Amino acid sequence: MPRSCAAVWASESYDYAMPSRQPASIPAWTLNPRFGWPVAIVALGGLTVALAPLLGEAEIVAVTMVFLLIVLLVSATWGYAVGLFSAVLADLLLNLFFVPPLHTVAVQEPRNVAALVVFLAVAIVGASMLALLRGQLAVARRSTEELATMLNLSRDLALAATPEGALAVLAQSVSRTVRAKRCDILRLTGGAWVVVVSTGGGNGLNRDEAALANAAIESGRVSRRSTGNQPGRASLLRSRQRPATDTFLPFRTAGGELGVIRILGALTAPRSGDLDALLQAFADEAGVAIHRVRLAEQARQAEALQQSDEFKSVLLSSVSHDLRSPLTAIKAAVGSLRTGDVDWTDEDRDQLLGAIESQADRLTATVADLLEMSRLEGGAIKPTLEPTSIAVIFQDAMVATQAATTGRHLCVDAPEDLWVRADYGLLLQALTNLIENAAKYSTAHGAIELRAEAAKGRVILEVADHGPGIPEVDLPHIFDKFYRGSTGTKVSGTGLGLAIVRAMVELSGGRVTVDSSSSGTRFRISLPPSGPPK
Amino acid sequence: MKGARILVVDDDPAIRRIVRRSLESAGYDVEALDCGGGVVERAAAFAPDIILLDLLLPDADGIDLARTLRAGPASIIVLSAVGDDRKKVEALDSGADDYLTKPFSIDELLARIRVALRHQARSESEPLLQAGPIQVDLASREVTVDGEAVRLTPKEFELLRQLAFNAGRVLTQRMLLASVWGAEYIDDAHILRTFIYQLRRKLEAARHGVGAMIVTDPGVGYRLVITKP
Repeated sequence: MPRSCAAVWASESYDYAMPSRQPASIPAWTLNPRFGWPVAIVALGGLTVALAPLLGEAEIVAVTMVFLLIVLLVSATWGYAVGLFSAVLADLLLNLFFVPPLHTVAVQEPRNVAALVVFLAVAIVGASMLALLRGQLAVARRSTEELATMLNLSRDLALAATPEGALAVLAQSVSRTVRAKRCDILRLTGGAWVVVVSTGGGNGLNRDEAALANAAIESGRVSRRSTGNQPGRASLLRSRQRPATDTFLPFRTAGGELGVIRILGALTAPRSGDLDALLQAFADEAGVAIHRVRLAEQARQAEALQQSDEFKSVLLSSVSHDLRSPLTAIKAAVGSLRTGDVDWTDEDRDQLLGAIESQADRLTATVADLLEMSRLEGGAIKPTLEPTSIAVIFQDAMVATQAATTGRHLCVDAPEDLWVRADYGLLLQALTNLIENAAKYSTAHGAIELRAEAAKGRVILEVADHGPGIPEVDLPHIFDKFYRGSTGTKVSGTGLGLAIVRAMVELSGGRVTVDSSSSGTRFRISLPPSGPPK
Repeated sequence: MKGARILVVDDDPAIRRIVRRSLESAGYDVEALDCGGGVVERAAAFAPDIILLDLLLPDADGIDLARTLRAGPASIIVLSAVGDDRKKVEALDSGADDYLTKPFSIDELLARIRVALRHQARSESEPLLQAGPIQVDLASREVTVDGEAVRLTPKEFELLRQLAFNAGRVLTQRMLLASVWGAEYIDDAHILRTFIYQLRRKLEAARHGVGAMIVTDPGVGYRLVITKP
């Protein structure tokens, strides 16, 4: 559905949102029939008094018309009984005061007898017709109100951001409409009742409640438990209010899943509603909403699968490249050495052996990175978050990277007593990788700086180099798996180093960012601060 | 110490063949087994000085084997796969003396064997431990780097003594915590890290590069590397 359509629909249903608005602005209490009786008497009596100067002289037809008007108005306003009563009363008043001989029931002229009979007939038929219309109007209004309730619900459900949100809206709507204490929606999963949503901390079902829920599912009808916690027999709710404490309303989803809506507290039907029809409508909506939740779950799983498929295909192409090229080099070198018809000099032989060794090292690095990445992603690593001293971990990282940073100046700028909450091993590995990365990609002998400071409730660790920087197009992708820079740098790598850094930092409860210019690159790790360990 | 006996236990025939040939050409007496089944019997009969034990054997748990074999006089060097830190640490805590991560180079293997043999030849009563430029005098409890005295606290001294006595071998965090601080401290890794930090600083102040001789084996423990400076 296009967005504009949804907006129109919403504004239309907004009209239904005020079902209490009446066609005419008559106060509701005046519509009570008990008020109709005296009004009919007073109106007809008053009319008689008003027309008193014309007693016995007026044209009988004109007078009956005025009386008829009053009778019809009364019927339209207070219904059939009051209308019938006022028709008879009007006929009597006409007979007594306007048809000669006055003040007696007897009538002189036959045509007046006919006029009174016709008046009575017209008044009764008119009153009946109006009463019928009035009844139909009431029915129409009631269904309008029910429709409005359901339309409001539908709109809220449609506006809910997630299917789970829609279920919460539904539960709230049920709870509000029948003025219940609490409403839970449960679904039957593997023979057990699981609370999907609750308007107020609803827990699972005990054995009695499960029996009631099962009874509701089996009979397809509402089951309830009345006050005193005795399981009640299945029954349809008919009256406007019941002393039930727990009501179980069964539903079935389009996918064939079963569920119940548990409503706690006495149920109150809306002003003019039919509680059964309303509950049934809620049950239908619950079925649809649960089905949507299930579909959304499946969609999410499908998406995750697809992402993992994409990862696997990137992995395959990357791995086949990263494993195949060193293997090719090794095989070629070994083949050359074994060729009998060439007399290799010692120098040539050394070179070939050196190539085999370095390619084997490259294979080892690739395999190690792949294993590390899959362990990080597969949840095999459980971080231990503990107070971690920045001075200690910086020193450890420097010792660990001394081979990679030979000939470079490593400067450290960190307060002695700065602590973060992190997994020591993961953070050390992340820092080590970042320092090695800086050594690999910056100018030879360029300094590498390690800094740390507390800022805005976080601690920022920084690894900075003075290399040529990272091209702007590459920056957003630099932490992606298997991403290699757009400029074909000569430095080899698996394309996993920074992805591993990010995974490690995030597992350790931090975030890693990068900014880069032509004068250098800075990686920043932001972590929650901590006090020293006790 | 040529002529030492080495028992190789690995299910991969290529590795057995290459390791055997390299060790034999280095002058060691080598026997090889392809499974864990007969290791204990073979170890009793052959009386090896060193057992190279693959942790991933088809018929036995390498860690259980290490636990059984520690009763004998042989040093155990376990061979483990990349990324198997937890198993490595478990094997070390169960009695293995050192580990090598596959793939390893023969040079690395020979170096570890030399360290293990040297350690076997060492006696607890040695009055003086020498590790590169570091000298630890157990009688006077004095530490010198290139002859210059380094002032250490008692715990720092004890930590350095452990590292120097086992120079070249890895010591797990739990081993160090248990031997220096006591068994009730084996999970307080931060204490150890802080003392290693202080110790490195003091050694580094005495001579540049000496602090970095204490190497962190990520996820495993610490090792005093003596081939450096």
